[in-house]
Amino acid sequence: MTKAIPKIGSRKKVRIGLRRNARFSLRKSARRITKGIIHVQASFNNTIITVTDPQGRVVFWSSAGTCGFKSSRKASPYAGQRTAVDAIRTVGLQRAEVMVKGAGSGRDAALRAIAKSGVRLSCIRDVTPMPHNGCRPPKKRRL
Amino acid sequence: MAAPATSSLLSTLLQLPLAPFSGKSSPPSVVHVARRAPTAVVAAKGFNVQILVDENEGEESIFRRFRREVMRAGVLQEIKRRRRYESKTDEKKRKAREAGRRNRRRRMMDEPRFPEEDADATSKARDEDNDNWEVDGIL
Repeated sequence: MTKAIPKIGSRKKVRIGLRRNARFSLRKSARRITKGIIHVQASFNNTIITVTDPQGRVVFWSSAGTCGFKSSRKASPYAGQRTAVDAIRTVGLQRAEVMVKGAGSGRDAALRAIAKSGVRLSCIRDVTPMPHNGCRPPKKRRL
Repeated sequence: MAAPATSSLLSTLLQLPLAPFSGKSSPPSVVHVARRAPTAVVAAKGFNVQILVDENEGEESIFRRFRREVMRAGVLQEIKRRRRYESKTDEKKRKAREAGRRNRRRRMMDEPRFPEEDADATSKARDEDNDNWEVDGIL
């Protein structure tokens, strides 16, 4: 007949929390490179920016979600700009190539932020994948 | 005499630095290839648009140039169009619309911009041709 003692915090949760904190502390101390490639993937719902070295090995990545934006605000141009600034500051690039993929709203804002951040750009490429009449897309939305 | 000739021939054919060897009688058994850094991720033509940035180019001009190239290639329109399925009738309608737009633009380019001004210019030229006053005869 005694009341069940309410759990204040399970051990599992604490461990996950610790792991998450450790991960973020690791991420902020990304190895610094002077020359690399900035990959901007601007989807319709999010903007992901990945910084790699010239061989294509990932050094650091950042997205609108990790910068603290939620739901539809992740797709905004401001989120794209903040993401780009965050990624470049952490790595400390000096010379870079930019690869832009996708047609989201964060695309132009991210590119503008990269250009204004003081990184010397050697070239900008649009690497959006284009199907040669590939898979059938989903049907039109009827709103 | 033949061995050095063969080794030089080998090196010219392969265009690779040969391993140093002491004996002149036999050519080297190992050919050292200079270790090269792995190539960039993108292949020779793995992109839709590319712009090369000059040394002292401003960020605004870079951005403007890139946007112009993307617009010219029609990448964004294509992506937005391919996002949802387009039936044959919709495709026909779209193509007719695009063709009309193209033709309208072409017609506008072909026509003179200010037709009345052009007419005035031609009439003035004609008047000057007909004008046969002889000032020397009067004086």
